[in-house]
Amino acid sequence: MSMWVDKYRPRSLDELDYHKDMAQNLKHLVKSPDFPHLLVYGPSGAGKKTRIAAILRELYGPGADRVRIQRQAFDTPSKKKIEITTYSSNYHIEVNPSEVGFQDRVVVQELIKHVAETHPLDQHPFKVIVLQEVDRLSKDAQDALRRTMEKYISSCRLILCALSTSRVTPAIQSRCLPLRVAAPSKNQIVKVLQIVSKKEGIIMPLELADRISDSADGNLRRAILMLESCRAEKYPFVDKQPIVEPDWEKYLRETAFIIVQEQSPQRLLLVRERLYELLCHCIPADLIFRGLLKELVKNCDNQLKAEVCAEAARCQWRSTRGSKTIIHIEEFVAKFMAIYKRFIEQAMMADDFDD
Amino acid sequence: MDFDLMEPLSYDDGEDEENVKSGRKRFGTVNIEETSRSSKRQRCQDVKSYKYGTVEITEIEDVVVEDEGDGSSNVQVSESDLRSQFNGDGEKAGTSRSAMGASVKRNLSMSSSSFRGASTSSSSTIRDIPLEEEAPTVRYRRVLKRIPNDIPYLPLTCEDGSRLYLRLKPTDSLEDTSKLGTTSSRFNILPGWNDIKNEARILKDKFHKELAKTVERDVVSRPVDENNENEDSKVPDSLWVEKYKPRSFLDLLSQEDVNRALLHWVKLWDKSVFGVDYLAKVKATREKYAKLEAQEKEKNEKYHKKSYLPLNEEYDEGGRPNIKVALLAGDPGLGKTTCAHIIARHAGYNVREINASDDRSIQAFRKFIDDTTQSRSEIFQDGRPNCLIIDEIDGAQTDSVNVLVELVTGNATESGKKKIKKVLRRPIICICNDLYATSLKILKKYAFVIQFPQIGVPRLIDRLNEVSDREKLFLDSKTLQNLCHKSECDIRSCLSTLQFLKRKRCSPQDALFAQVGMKDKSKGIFAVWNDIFTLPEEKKYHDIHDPIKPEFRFRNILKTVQNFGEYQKLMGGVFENYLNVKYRDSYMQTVIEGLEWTTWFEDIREYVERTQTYGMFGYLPMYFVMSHFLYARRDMSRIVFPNYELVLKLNKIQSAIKTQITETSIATARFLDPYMLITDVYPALLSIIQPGTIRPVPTQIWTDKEREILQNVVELMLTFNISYTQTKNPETGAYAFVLEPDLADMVKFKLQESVVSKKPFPYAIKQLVSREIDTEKLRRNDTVPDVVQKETFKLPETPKSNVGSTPKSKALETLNKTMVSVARDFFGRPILAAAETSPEAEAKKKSAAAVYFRFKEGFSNAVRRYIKIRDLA
Repeated sequence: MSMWVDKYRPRSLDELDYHKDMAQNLKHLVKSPDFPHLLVYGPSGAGKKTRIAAILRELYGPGADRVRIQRQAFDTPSKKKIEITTYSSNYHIEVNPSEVGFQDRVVVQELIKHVAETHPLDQHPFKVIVLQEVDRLSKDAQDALRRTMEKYISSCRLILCALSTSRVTPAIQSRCLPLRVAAPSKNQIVKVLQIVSKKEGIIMPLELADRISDSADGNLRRAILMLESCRAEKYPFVDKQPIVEPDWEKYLRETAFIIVQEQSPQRLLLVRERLYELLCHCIPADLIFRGLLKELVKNCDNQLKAEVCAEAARCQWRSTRGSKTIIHIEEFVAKFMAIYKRFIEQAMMADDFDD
Repeated sequence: MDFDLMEPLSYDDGEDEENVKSGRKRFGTVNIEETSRSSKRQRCQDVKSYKYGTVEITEIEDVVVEDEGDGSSNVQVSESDLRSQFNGDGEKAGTSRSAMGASVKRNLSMSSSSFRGASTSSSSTIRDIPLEEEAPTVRYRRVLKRIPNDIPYLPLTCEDGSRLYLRLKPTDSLEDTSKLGTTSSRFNILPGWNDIKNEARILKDKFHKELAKTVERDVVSRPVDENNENEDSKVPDSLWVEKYKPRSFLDLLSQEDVNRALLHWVKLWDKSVFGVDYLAKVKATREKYAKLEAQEKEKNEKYHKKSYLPLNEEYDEGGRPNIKVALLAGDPGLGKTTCAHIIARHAGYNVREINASDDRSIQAFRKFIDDTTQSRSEIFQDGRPNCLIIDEIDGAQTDSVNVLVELVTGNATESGKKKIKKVLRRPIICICNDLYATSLKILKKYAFVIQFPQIGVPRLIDRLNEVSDREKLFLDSKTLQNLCHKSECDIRSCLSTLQFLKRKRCSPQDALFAQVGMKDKSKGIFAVWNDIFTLPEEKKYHDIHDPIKPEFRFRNILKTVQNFGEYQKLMGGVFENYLNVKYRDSYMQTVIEGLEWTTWFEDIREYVERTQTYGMFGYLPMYFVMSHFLYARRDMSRIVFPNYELVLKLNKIQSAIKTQITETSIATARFLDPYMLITDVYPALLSIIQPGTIRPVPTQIWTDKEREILQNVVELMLTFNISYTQTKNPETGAYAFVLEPDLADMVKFKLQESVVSKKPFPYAIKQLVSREIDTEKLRRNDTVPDVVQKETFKLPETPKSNVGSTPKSKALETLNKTMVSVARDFFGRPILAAAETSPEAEAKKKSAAAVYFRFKEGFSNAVRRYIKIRDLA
């Protein structure tokens, strides 16, 4: 028995609950003789990995589900050993190269070479390599990838999985068939939740499903997890059943509130402590940026929104390059503080003037 | 006739000036005047007659110097009672001054009066010094009651134990310049002087004989400076640093209280090394002068920051001082090594030194220490006991230093013979630049730490002046002052620079001078941060090198940062501290500008690292210059070190997740990535595996649904490889089940809003879950044949390791039962009772006799059970 997320995960393309037309297209694609490299992208919890697994099953049959875990070791050019976890069946191999940090180039090169050199034994003309989190790959690794993608096209195909294409180099994008898995809409989430609760044999009020899908923000995985934790908290469901939200989200919201409350270097120091707390709990900087921006913008006048968003974008973009993300988040907070404070004081002056 | 010394002892220059005008002959640097108005009269028998200022003093120093040069441990010098009769020229003061019965007594040892009792006083009388003698006009006339900080001075002790400090007149003319610690023949013109000298010699000889009785020693041949002048011409290459090295305690330029503190510590060893109870003597004198001592202390404390903590003077049972190591710390060129050498010699030791240039591996280090401090033959090698000086100890390996620590703490043992503890019998003086080196962390606790203060500029200038005059360089004091500032009062670099100038025969005003003598010294990281965050002090005099000017601030910071080198580390500190600066602008413009510079720094650094273009590295220090101009304030609050705990915590969580994800069952892990785990899955999982729908009631009255949920929880926990571990609260002694890995620690935050606190998951259910997990694990392992064997071998331990924890041992007992019932053979088949009788099974049993029984913890006879191998295998 496993979590509901895994338990009710669709196994094949036919079972998918939404984006059905894409599923149909994929079925045709699998049947066609020239299966291309794929770049599957979309927000977290939209069902990218589910779809990749379904494609594999469609390609190779149920044998693709028999996955084993392996630790593979590679030697870097400087004779340093690196290890990486791979999930592989007879037909494919899944790997997350960003696991080894800046050495990912070695993994990409060695692994693809290794897989591509051995031709598949049965009737399938090619193997599949699934690379997770391609947007976290270093530029070197991505450059290494583009050559190997062409070189070994006869014996293997790549399925790349990424959150967004913005950090995937255009060279790679152009070599793949991009496949956008959009986040499910609110209604789609509600529908899935209903299916799950029906299969699980629990009675879920529609109001709860609505609230969960609101709170999940397009993340189906989180929605199902929330439903399950609600079930664990209290069942039968009551009115105003509390939804278990991750702590870090609440914490981020509080942080945003602190920023709006007061704008001063001392306050920034306090905010920094909280940011450190978030970062050292492994919360990715992207999520922090997004969470903060979402909350901060709520307090902004329309004319400020654009300005704040632009600053957030700039800082986030910078944060993807440097190693010290805290600097960039702090820069964004400081800039927001300055913008907001100036705006508030101007507004107050204007008010005084009106009076 | 006795002379009354008054308080206050300093006289204003005005009067002196007047006296000079009136044509009176001056008697040296000290102007002692009787003031009958003063109510507090102190009789001072021993006042040195400072006729001719420095001249006499130097002469007497010489006597002393020779004494020390011989390394006597108990130097008792003194000793010429100069009695002079002045026939006044009819002036008012004549009556008081003319009859100047001043006996001079100089006591040079560390605690001024401690040796007095033993000293044989001798006196010679100078009579009728003709007043027509040349008397230099003196401008500095002060008798000070506290240790003067920067000026050259001469300490002297009055009969009642109070100490006075005479300011010495800086000698400018070549004639006045006497060699360091040497006699200048010209002073022989003083009538009676030779008498004094002879007297002193006799005294000295007598003293030596006494000393020789206690410890046989050779007289160290000391380079006599008289010959130096000639030698120099022959050997022009001898370094001035060597040539003008202080030869005696009095020559030391470092602050007197520091020197004294060290000497005092070395002297504490007398009891065990020489068999002289030094401390008793000190105590006796201290009692005698207790009041004065207190006054002195008060005075000195007011004006001086102590550079060392008060010393624990107690002896241990072996008659050795409790603190067995002295640790001198300070910047290079302050004279630490010289000071240590001279003091060790002064106290009668033979100096053995080990420094960074020697082999300092653990073995070599241990051998050296043992040789010098332990073995008898070495100890008395040249007639004097060894004093070990470990120079540059901060560069030694931590392990090597720990050898020393072991010896000091008395934990070191003789190799081979385990029970005999090594005893440190000789003083060890360690010297380091960086007191905060990690290798010294432990040693510091056991050592008498003395931080060398900076040398006073005037004292250094005075010394340099002497040297430059002797070397016929004739530099003016302004130039010397510049030199001192440049080298940050590094004596070595000053002397070397002077020598360089002499060799090059260029005028000091040359532009070259601006370049030489600059120290390429790196500061500690805190010092660099301090420089960045504080505005430089305004100098009293205004010259072109005023550090407050922006261009000099720019240059200074740039230089400091470049010398330090580790930009990223520095940047971490700047970033950590910049928000503590007080800002004046209301819209945080400075903060934002600073942050933009910080991101600029990060951009460049990242670029350098990525593309390996180290040419760009040179621009990084500009960030710190910019930071300085943005953040420097007069009053910077304490600089804090970047918090590395956060990094540790991050690493901890990251590695925990990494291992978790590999141990999660494959079907689930395939769809996970670490970030997803922390942001989505674990927060939900935490509430799912601790469901609120299970009632904390006995399992018998549970509904089927509840059982199902429990089953589900167990399965989930197994899927994610999470379990409970039983821990004991060290304070309350209560047991608690903690999740392993601790999910709550990973995903919980300290929220402000008062969350409706969830009822804690009841202990009983946790216990139940934990037991279920264990059984389930066992059951699953059971299907894998190999593991059965493993489990079997572990079995004997289980009853032992859980003594005292009743709930768990109960659970384990149930486990044991299951274990015994499921005992299977290698192939997973249940072992049949019949099989045991067969010969094969017998053989198998013998071969499988590798049953290890290891006692782990608890009381051995608490639970003792006989278990037969047969039952287990």
